[in-house]
Amino acid sequence: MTLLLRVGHAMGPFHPTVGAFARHDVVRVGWDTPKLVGEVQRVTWQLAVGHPTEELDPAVVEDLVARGLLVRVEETPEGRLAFARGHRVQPLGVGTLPTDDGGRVVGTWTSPVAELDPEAFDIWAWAHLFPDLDAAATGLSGASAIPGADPAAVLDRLVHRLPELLAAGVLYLDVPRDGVRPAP
Amino acid sequence: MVPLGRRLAVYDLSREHDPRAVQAFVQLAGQTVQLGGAALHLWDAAQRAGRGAADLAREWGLTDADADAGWAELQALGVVSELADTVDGRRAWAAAHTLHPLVLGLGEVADQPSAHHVGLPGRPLVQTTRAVRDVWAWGPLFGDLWTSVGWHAAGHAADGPPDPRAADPDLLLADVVATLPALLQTTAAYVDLALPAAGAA
Repeated sequence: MTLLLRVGHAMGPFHPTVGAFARHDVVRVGWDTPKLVGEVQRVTWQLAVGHPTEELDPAVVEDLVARGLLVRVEETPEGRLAFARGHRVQPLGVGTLPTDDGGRVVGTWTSPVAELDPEAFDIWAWAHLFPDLDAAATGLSGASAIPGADPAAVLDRLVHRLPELLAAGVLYLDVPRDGVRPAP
Repeated sequence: MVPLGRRLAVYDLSREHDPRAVQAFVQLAGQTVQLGGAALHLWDAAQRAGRGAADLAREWGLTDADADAGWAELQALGVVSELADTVDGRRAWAAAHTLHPLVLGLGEVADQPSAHHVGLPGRPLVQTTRAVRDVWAWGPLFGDLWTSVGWHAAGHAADGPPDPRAADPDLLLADVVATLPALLQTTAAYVDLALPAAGAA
């Protein structure tokens, strides 16, 4: 099976003039701001948080993958590793009071958006501190609620939990930070 | 007074909701910092009210002695920073800190093309200029805020008019600092320490 995941931090719609319909939506991916043109591209990007469904237009998916807005993750050790070395996560939201049964709540004070178990919480809380997801799996091995001391096993769990964390809006995928800034 | 770090969790250890019995964990520079009840309430009040934090914390049930102890704890832990709102003060502060978004960009305000909203889907939290929105959104790519502001200002200068405030790094930073209370109040952003090697990370 292959996962299809959206990449980037949503920046919202661009209106060319006051009152005009949005021309496109902007996403920040690393230093770039690729555009989602039209409703089909926008919805395809938003829905890419797991196994692709038949409703997605293959040509649109292919275009978004080619532009780095979507990534396919082959669910094999090699596939996960290739994905992990090319991507990182960034968290959204803050932690608030837990639920009575120990769930950890993430969001804002006024809008809690997700209840996370300890494994998901540790991914949200710590994975962004590493330069990419491969390094995150190594760093979190044996040092988090993610079971397993083997980085490959931890990466398996990390990739397994990403779709729900993306869907809940408590993190986004990005590309590793480039040491060289482009010209502004 | 700017609170630093991202709140990870809050625990109310009392049955009577005594603010002194609350504990919180804040992530700062990749480390977990534990805050006691008075310190947490002052840290949270500083997000909402800046220099009025102590008054707000008192409204939440802290005594003057609690507030004094809370400030001492925050300063000892390094989870607050002084920002002098002058050109030099802003520069020095920005060079020592980073700014990180915690919500989404929501695009332009429908009837104000130069204004942008950030927030949750369908729920704008803060209105900013395009230039401030960019500094906020690109924050994770930079090792410090002053480098980030300089990079964005250079980009606006290269594009030419129409926004001279965006093209001058000091004016752009002043606008970022002016927007900071709203960003912190709504948890649309948090401030962290600059990375050890400043510049792009």
